[in-house]
Amino acid sequence: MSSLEIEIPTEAIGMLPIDHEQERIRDFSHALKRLQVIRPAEIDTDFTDERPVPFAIKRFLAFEHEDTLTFYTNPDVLGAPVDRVRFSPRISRVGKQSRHGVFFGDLQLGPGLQVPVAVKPHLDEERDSCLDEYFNTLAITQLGMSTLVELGFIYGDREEDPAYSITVLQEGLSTLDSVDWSSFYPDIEEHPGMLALWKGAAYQAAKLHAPGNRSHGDLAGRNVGEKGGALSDQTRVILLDWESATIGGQPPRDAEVRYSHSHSDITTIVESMCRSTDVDFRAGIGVFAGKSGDWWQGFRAVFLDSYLERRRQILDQTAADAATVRDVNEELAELEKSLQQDVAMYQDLALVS
Amino acid sequence: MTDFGEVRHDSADTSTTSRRFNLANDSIGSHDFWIEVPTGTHRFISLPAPTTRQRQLRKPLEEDGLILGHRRASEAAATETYSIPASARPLAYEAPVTREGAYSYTDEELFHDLGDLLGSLSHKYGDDPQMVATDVTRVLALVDFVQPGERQVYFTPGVERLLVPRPPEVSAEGQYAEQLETVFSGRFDEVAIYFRMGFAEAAAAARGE
Ligand SMILES: Nc1ncnc2c1ncn2[C@@H]1O[C@H](COP(=O)(O)OP(=O)(O)OP(=O)(O)O)[C@@H](O)[C@H]1O
Repeated sequence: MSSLEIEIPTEAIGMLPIDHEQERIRDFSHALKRLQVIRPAEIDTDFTDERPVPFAIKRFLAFEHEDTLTFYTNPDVLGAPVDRVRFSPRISRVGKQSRHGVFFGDLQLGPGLQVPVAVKPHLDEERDSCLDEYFNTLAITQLGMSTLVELGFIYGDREEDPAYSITVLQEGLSTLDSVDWSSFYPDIEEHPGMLALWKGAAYQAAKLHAPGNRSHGDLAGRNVGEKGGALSDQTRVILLDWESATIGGQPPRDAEVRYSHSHSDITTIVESMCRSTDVDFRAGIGVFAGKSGDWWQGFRAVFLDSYLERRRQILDQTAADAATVRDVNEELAELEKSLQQDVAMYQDLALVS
Repeated sequence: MTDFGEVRHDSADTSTTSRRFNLANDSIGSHDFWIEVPTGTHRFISLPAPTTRQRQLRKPLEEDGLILGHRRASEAAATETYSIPASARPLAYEAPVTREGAYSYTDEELFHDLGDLLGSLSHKYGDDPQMVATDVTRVLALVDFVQPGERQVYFTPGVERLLVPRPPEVSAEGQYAEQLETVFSGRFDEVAIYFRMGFAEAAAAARGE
């Protein structure tokens, strides 16, 4: 043995840190080898259903779904069946806070067709969330929101089958958690680029909430992204990760229903902005954490004023009836009040800790 | 630098890259933009053609693949253009990444590679040593989603115009470290050792050790 070779004692091997990322990628490659079928998924979401997406998933499971492990592709992106897929991983900085452990790479779909992708595992008891993610994202796209493009999902019948949702990789995507916000607040006016990003996020949220029967379900900073590319492109801020979204088929009954949808999302954004980046549990993006000043006024200036302005603009443009106008105004007034309390609570908590 | 990138006006067929990603530098007249072509949109940086001296300074950096993108222009044109990856972004606004894994690019690796990059610059010019004249974070770009083994940090196109001779009494490494410290505040302290290691390794490599 040369002096450069180091023998690792067997008992030390167990002490080496486990590379979960590498394990996930290995499992995914195994799953690809086990695939029996790769074909486009026929899915129709009926937006007049009471709950369009859960109903579409039920129909899929009843009529479309194969027994064996299958890669269902999005027919709009990959319309023809494929024989075989292989995966080669890429190295990244983004996506490291992902709860599911997203990873990135290239899918080789037969000769000459290679698609860069982001792969999200949905393991064990969370298997079915891969259906939620895929069907919700398709539905939200049909409803005119700009987001990531689904390539498809991998799903099988048996409990032990792995499940994955796969989106087309957006190489120029930057989520809010990949930005260092520590120098932004309170001198927000000195950062027009950062402010513009938040304004874009506020507009997207306003567009989502305007009908009153939709919510994103997990609107943390890491789920708001800016597509690189043209500055003039209005749709460059997108919301992603629609796994927990609610998309109603019926108009909202009253202001309270509207409020339940908008409040759950905006309060998540508030939490994400107020919480620090360097905690393990429920880490935020650290916009306000560690800063003195009036966080509520900061939140208004960074996000809420743009959101409310946009909501009212949309209301004006849609020639809503008197009852809707009343409901939306009631919803927004209530929203403002409760968010003020939320922000005050986070600021108090920060003072204590 | 107080905000994402610099933004300039668009002409009819191009649009300026959004601020978070923008790698333009007004002081050297560079412009970061997208062009829509039938096969999709592509990103470029354009800048005025360099002087002969600047060309000489660029040569060794280009030969080692340390400059971002692919240079397109002919030697004679009045401007030159680099095609650059969609994910390339300025170093300055990066949030920390500490999760380790074979497919993660952590802060430790990032700052090691920055040290290596800047260290190689310091040893490229023999007895006419050069250093970056401005805030060093303005000439560094990060590329995400790379293949294993591929470089992730580069100098931005035009870096050769921002080099000045290094006086013998000045430590380039110390100056860069100070600038990184200012931009990344407390965070740099945690990874400064990796930066220094990278810098030292580049020096050793240049001496042929
Ligand atoms: N198609 C894609 N292109 C580029 N980046 C992506 C893509 N999909 C995901 N990402 C990156 O990975 C991160 C995690 O993705 P996502 O939020 O969908 O995963 P998750 O595990 O559901 O996360 P969460 O912790 O929010 O539940 C995103 O914030 C984004 O940075």
